[in-house]
Amino acid sequence: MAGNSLNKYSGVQFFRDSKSTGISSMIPFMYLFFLILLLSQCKCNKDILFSGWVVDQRGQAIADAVVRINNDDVRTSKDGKFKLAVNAKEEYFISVKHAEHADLYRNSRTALKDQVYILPDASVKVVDPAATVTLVDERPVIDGIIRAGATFTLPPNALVDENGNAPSGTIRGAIATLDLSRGEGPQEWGITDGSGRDGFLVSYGAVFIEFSSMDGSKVYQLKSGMSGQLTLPVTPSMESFAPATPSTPFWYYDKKDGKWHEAGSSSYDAVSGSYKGTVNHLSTINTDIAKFENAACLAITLDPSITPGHQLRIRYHSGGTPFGQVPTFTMNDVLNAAWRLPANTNVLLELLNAGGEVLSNLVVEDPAGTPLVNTVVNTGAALPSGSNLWPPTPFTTCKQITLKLGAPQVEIRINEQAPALAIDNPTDDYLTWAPTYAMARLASPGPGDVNIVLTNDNPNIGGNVRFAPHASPWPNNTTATATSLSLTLPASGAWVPFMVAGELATPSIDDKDAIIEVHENSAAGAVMGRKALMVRVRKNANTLTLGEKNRLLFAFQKFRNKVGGMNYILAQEIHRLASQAGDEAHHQPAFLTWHRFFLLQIERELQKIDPSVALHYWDWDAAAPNFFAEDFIGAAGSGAFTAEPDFSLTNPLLGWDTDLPFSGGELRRNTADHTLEPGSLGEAFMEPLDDPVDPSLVNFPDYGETGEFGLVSSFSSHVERSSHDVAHGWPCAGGHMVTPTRSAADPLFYFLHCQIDREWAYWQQVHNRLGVVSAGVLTFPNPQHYENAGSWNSPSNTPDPNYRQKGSYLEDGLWPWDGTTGGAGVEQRPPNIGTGVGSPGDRPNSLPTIPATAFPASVVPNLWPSVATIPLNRHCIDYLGRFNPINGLGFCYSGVPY
Amino acid sequence: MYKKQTSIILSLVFSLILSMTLCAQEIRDTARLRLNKQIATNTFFDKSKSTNDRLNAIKGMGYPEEATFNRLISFARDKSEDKDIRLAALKKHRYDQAYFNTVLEILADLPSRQV
Repeated sequence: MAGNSLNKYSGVQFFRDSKSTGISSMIPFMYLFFLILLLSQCKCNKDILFSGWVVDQRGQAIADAVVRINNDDVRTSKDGKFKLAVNAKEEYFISVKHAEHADLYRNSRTALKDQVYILPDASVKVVDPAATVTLVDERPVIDGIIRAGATFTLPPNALVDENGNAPSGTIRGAIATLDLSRGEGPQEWGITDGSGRDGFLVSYGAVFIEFSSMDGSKVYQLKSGMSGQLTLPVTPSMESFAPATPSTPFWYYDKKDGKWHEAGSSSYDAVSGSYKGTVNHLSTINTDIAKFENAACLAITLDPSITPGHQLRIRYHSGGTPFGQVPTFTMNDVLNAAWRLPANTNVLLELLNAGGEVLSNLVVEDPAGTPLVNTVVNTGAALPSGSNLWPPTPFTTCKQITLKLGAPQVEIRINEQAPALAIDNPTDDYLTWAPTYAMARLASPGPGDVNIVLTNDNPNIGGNVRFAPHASPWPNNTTATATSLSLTLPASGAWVPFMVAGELATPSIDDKDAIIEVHENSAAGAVMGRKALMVRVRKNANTLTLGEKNRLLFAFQKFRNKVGGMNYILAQEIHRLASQAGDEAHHQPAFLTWHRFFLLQIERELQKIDPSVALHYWDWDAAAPNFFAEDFIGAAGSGAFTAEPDFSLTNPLLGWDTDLPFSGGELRRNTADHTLEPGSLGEAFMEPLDDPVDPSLVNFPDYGETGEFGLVSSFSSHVERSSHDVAHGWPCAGGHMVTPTRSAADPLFYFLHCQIDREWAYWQQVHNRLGVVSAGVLTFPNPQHYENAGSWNSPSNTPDPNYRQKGSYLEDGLWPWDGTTGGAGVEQRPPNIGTGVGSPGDRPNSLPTIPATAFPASVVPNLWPSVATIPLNRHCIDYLGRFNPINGLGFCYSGVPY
Repeated sequence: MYKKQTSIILSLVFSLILSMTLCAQEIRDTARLRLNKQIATNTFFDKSKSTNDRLNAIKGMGYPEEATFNRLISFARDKSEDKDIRLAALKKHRYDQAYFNTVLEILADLPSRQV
């Protein structure tokens, strides 16, 4: 305070003396300048240190995110970490912001150290604010259930910056439907009424919406008097309660005061399971019921067995007042509190380790030391009405509980090598027959090392895995084969690596139904942990379970309805264009490789929608009545030569719109009976893969040629002309499938090509042509690189416009991922490459432009490609990564072993 | 001791006999299927058989050998053959250049009112 007085006094002195002249008059100014400089450098009050790690939902670090705490901010480093010292305050409002993600907000009364902040992905697109703008969330998986994302529509010229100026030119629009069950969205649910009374919200769903300048420097808000239309899906855990709440306000979160404010109103729409209404302020928006009575809080004491730094998650369980939000916070001290919970309501407590995994050995005790069943706690009596619902330390007005840990638990990570990601990536717990890296550790450091044995669960339901001790480098052509594995986990909690692969005879039938059990000392010892994963395999479509079928069909439906980015229509267009000018994908050596990449990209897009799906194959060497059925790919339609296939009323493919100017976009197939074994009809059918009686594809030992000059005696020629070409027309052509310009419009296309790829994989296995070079022989016929070799490998070794297309050589990059277009002769590439992105509004008069983007990086570590890459033919030959374990493609086939 | 060894030997012998039996069965089945395929193929190309017998036989032909594909084309082109046999031969053929050449040849031969 003395310093402030002196500073003020000196300022007065300066202005008085400034009427005189000379050097002496400058002395007070210099004194003031240095004093201000000194004070501005002084960090004597900034002694409250916050630190943390900002990651996305897959655990990947987010660099350059802005972390703001009250009035100070800092950007995260390359590894997503930050440290920020701030002035001591009674309350800290923390916000974390990054252009590709939804904002994250936290409120705290204490410094938070080493926190992990998980930013939800946002759907971001460039929009013209002078026109009507519609943002649709493209994250279709919310709460693990496939459903629609939020939609927001804005009228033209509705936005202004903080100075009231309208944006000029295009801007960015971001939307993210927040998964409240995973702790997304603000963790503070406080409101204040007009009289200053403290209250809280009971949430039914939340969304983040933001418009910003292209460089992110300005954030735009709705102009006064303007509003947008919001459709906000109910968070699944609240779906059964929403019909009883036909209308509710929208609320927006204000990071300046850390509270929610009304921003519009909404009505429940039972058909879409959403609240629909108008919004007059942008930010993180909730649809909630406000409560000013019946608020409770929990005071949570940690037993010495739990070190501060663990996360606690609180879910609605039963009774009392249902709520959708799932408060999730790091317990920074021995004494912690959770507030603004409904009173007399049962809640489930979950303790999470640093990796975000639930520790199953949590024990919750009441003040008498009695363990509470299944860690369910009743929130207890309400705080007095009108009191502060965020009670001061030491939380004596709250219900008191104690948390402790039982026996030590073991944590397992799949597809990871140390150092571990900040959180366990839920999308990488998927295996094929190929080995991948895994690791285990004691979740809580203990007094001594612990010997464990890894096994499959017993009795087994679903998939099984095999184990192997870790080796670096991992030997070529080797997979994990042991049914159990012994490891010693150090007391320090350090990770111990091992290898794991899917068991050939036992793939999964459901998401994460393969359970690794961790036993203490021996396979019969106590269970110290479990890890759920999936042996995800491409299977015979005729033998799938109902669940496998439905998950795949729903994923196709969501992919078809996806707006922007890579979607079904864009995929359809890529195949259409690929088969036109400069067709390297058909009747050329790259037929198999091009389609392997194409299937892989589409499969990975489907897995973004539902990670438990894989493409499956139509095995035409046998009848497939379960596949050509109304509840799957469709039964034969009736009437004319071609007709729309018959689908059951619950089939997601019902009413499939091809978006092609052909029969009004209706899907067309020939009306022959497809359920019979193709060979039984007495007509042309697909050359068998491996038949003891008939000529078979596997009998051709050479990959050989597949040229424009007709069928020759090689595997690639026969698989394309005698199998693939016939299948597209089987049994008597007609409909979308018959021509490459529209075949990919029919989902049947993907099952057909999966079969072709399986035939190649099977042939590779039988003839040991698994690597780029096997037994000294190239597995792809043309070693030259088109662009560099100067050799065309034609009979005359000179350029021949009728001979091989660019893309036909082992080291050639493939269209469209190499971004080329135009040209002539063998260099010709299809048209329509650009920066545009397809959307329904573009069709059918203006078909989408193929974006000039390389093959996307795999979201799963240890799979090709680690970064977006132009695929070369050589990249997809060793699809299991036998000769480069971190470069497998992440798929395999039932019946085609490692 | 001897009893245990005897049991092991008996088990091995039993397993061996069983596997040989299954293997022999598979060989017999394959041989039978090949024979059936050969009979069906011969029947289809046998002009002395009735048209009905020949058309019924085509369903048992399985996936044709290269030589069979050549014969199918010959029969499809043979104007002395029954037209149903010619059509069946053509439908049984894969869709390659020989197939399309034959289709064009047949179309060119048709009287204009039938095209």
